[in-house]
Amino acid sequence: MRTFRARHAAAVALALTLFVAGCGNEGGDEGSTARSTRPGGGEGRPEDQFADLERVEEPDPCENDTGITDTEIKVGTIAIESGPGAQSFAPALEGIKARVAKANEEGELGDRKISLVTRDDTGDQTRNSEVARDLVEQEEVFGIIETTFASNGSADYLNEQGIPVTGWHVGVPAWSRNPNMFTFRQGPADEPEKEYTTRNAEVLADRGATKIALIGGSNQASALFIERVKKSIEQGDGELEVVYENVSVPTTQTDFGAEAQAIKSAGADGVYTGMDLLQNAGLSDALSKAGVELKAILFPGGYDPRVLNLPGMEGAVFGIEFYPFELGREAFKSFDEWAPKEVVRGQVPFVGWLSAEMFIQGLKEAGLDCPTREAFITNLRLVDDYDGGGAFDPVDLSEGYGEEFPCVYYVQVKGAKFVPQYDGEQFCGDPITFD
Amino acid sequence: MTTYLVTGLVVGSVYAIATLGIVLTYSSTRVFNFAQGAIAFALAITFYELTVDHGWNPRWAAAVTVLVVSPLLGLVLWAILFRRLADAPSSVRLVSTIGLWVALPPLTGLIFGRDERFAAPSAVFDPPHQYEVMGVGVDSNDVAVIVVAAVAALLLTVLLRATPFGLSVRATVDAPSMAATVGVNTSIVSAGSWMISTTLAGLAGVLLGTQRGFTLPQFTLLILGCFAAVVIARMHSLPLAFAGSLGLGVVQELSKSVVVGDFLDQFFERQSVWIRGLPQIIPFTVMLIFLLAYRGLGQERFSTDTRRADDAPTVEDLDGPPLAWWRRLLPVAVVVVCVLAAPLVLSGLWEGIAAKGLALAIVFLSYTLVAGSGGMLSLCQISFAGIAAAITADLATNHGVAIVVAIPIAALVVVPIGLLAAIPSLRVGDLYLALATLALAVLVDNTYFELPSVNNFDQGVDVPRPEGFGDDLPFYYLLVACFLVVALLVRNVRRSTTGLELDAMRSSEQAVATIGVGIVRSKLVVFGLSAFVAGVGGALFATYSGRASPEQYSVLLGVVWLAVVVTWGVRSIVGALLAGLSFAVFPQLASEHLTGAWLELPTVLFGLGAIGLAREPRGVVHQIVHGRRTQERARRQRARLRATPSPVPAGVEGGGA
Repeated sequence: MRTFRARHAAAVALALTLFVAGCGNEGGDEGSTARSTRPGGGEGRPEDQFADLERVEEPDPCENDTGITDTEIKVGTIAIESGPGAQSFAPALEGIKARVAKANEEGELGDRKISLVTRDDTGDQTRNSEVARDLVEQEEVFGIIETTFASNGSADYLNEQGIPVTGWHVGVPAWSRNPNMFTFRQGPADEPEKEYTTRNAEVLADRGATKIALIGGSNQASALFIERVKKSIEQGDGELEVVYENVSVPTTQTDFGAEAQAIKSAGADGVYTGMDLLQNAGLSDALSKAGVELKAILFPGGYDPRVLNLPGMEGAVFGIEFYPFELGREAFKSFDEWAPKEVVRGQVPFVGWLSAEMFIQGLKEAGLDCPTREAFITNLRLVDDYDGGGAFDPVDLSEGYGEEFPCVYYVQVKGAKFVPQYDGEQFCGDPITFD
Repeated sequence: MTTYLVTGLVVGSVYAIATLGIVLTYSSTRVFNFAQGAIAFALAITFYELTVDHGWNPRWAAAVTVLVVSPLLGLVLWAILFRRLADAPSSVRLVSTIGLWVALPPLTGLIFGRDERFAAPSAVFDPPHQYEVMGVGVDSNDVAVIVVAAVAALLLTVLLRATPFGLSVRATVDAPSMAATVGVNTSIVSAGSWMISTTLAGLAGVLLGTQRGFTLPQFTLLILGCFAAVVIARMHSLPLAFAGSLGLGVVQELSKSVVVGDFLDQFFERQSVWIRGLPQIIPFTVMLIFLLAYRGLGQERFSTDTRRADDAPTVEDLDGPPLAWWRRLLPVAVVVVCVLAAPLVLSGLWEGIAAKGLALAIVFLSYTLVAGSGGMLSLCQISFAGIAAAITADLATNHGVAIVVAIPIAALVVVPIGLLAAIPSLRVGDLYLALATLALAVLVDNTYFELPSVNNFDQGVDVPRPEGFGDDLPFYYLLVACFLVVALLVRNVRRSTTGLELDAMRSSEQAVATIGVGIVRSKLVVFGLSAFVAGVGGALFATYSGRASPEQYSVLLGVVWLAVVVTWGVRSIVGALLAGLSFAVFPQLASEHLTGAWLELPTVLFGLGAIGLAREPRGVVHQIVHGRRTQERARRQRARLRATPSPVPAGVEGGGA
């Protein structure tokens, strides 16, 4: 028993020591470089922070920056390659590889070739921060291309380290708060609860709908999205009315018979959803079976040829961030040529392509002789006519930073084909702030 | 209203098919098949591959999948796993199918790839005919599902009541040892039951897939719903299972009508978690209610059979001198030295990952407390970890509380919830406790973890590190120290009177009650303590990543955690440590050295590890420590038997099971 108590006392003493030693909290801005990442950089909104930016020239004499040798540029990728998100997101990596292969084959970067170091973050924010550290500290890459929804995990860290990052924002606000991160065409709204665009209301009205049904998933992001659409409709000119609102759809639900009936009873003639592709397809199917007459049904994503054969998709309208493939513009033609045959010609792999394309553009802006990270981040931000290699109408990468990007291209499913709307031109709305 | 009724019957029918399989195998083999949903998923993907990727006619693909592949899979699984579970202790039976649940989906991804799977053509009617029933649009595929479920239930009942096989099954269910004595071939009964069960899983999988999609979450949802139905059926009644499944489907769909209507708006905001989560909350609340209502009847009907603690002394243990003190301490010493010296070889990133592993190890120590002392397996430890992490985050970020104060406070707050989870354990066996804690975890996932203040759009809330411990190295040593403190605590609890009481309870609860030990008090103490420990570990885990985000504490991840910790040894402190470290280290190693579908390998291994328990219930650590001695003894024994040709009848010699 004596030894028992002695051991007990030791444990208590140890615990007390820790208590006294660690009584404060780590400050927010100590800038410790070896720390793993913390979220929500409290720098405030970088409103006009780009006003004084000046182009950075290549250093002379040249000293290769980290990740750069005379023949190689080491670039890391963070993608979701396993776990539940892999089914939807893994193909993006194929798009990245295809664009890099093109750049290497055609010598777009002078004497150097890009070598990719791929990492899987499984869609988990902690893993995202770990693989980011791995890429920066162990692999010593020059920059990173990210196509994951867990990018918040490493955002602060990568910003602190001054690492250039390009990729797919997937709605994560960090892309509009950390100027080392570049996405197309512009990052998501920095404060989504406060603002949106009139675009969706205008598209619905343009297609003749007056009574709108809104339906979204039961997760918080989807609920907020629907809330923003609803407010933009209600604060609009008053011709549109929301007659049905449902933000309780579990993400696994694909059977919408009951919801279709309710939408029919409410007399809706326009539908906007905040759900994922399979659910949208299920809803569309249920609506057509219920005999609901709709002037417009809008999906925010899921532009993929495999969707065309799903039941009930006829007439559905999809919004996309780039020129519809059917227009055969330059970026798509390259993508089609360089992506392996088994990669589907759809939104997700093309987004990967565009992410890599943006990184390559950043390298070019930094200079092909002696690119540096600082030059990449500054000079790419100064580009005022970036068009994704012929993928969309040019955009100024510093204008409208942190605001909801108002323009989208639309296609409609007609006769099992995607038909570009509005003559293939983008449809733009006006910004709107909520009361 | 009628629409929901109809869709409810369709949903419930698919539940029913899968549930019947679980009830059948539980009744005849006393193994609760947690993996039924995973098996259904694997078979559904097989159907998809045959019809979409290889272009087979859907009816042929369905027929082959359900009538050939499914029973074959059942036979294979029986041969390599379920057969060994016949005499295993209940905790091993429980964990083996949990391991299968963890391993099978990523294994399916490894074999068949991870491509996005859109709809497959229906095996019944393609395209379906539309009818109108009571003003509701119904298609012939929906009707087909209901018919198939009814026919399956009917066939199963006929099988059990009117065939010799069915008679054997019922005999085995009622009195297994008697049935064996009378000459019933329990192997055939067992194998047959499993093959029927996987056939039902295949049927449910194909129907669910064509109806709702071929994504894993659909099947997880299916299986969780089935568990509720099995509970309603009191684990063994086929008619109740069928009715319960249909009822559950209907209730779930009806809850959607409430959600969409205006009634709830009087009490909750549109975006409130109670409205958003209602369709998920209802089935699990129902399950908990039934579990508690049944607890009086919940004593295992076969309490006299094979209910021994999984580390009860066997004859082998009595043979020879006890292990030398240095042999017992050696693995501990090796581990301690490695842990302390590790920073000499580790980079900053790996120090961080090791610290994360230590935080997880602390949470896993809570499993050791509950299982090691009480012989109980809890699936909601991860929820305690997450709740404490969220509370810590709130205190530190929104109220400026120092983190070293916030963590113990948060862990204390979790204790009453832990006591709540202990209530089902007071009267019922391992299985009911596992199901009750599973239901609790699902409820927490859908309520507390969905609160905007906690969830914050899946980004979570900031959690700072204690001052001075922001860098990797000091943080690592801090976690080492915390782990040591908690490990000492666990060790002392296990040697305390309470711990010894619970140890004794593992062998026989009745025996312990007869000597006047307060079972209720002991269980409550251990559960409360384990919730505290899990809370501390969860909060420390959050300080590693700098945020407390609910997605890291989900119920499915908790199932994987259980698989990992039992693989290494749930009763051993070193086992908990190695479990935590391996869980943190393997994914990073995989990410650095593997590509493509092979990245699923760590999860597969964790699941297989839990399945491997059928060989060594005490886990890998025990195997390493005692392994060589056991092998030597077995070899000596075999040599002795070969040398003496005396006519000792089989089954009498030896001491092993």
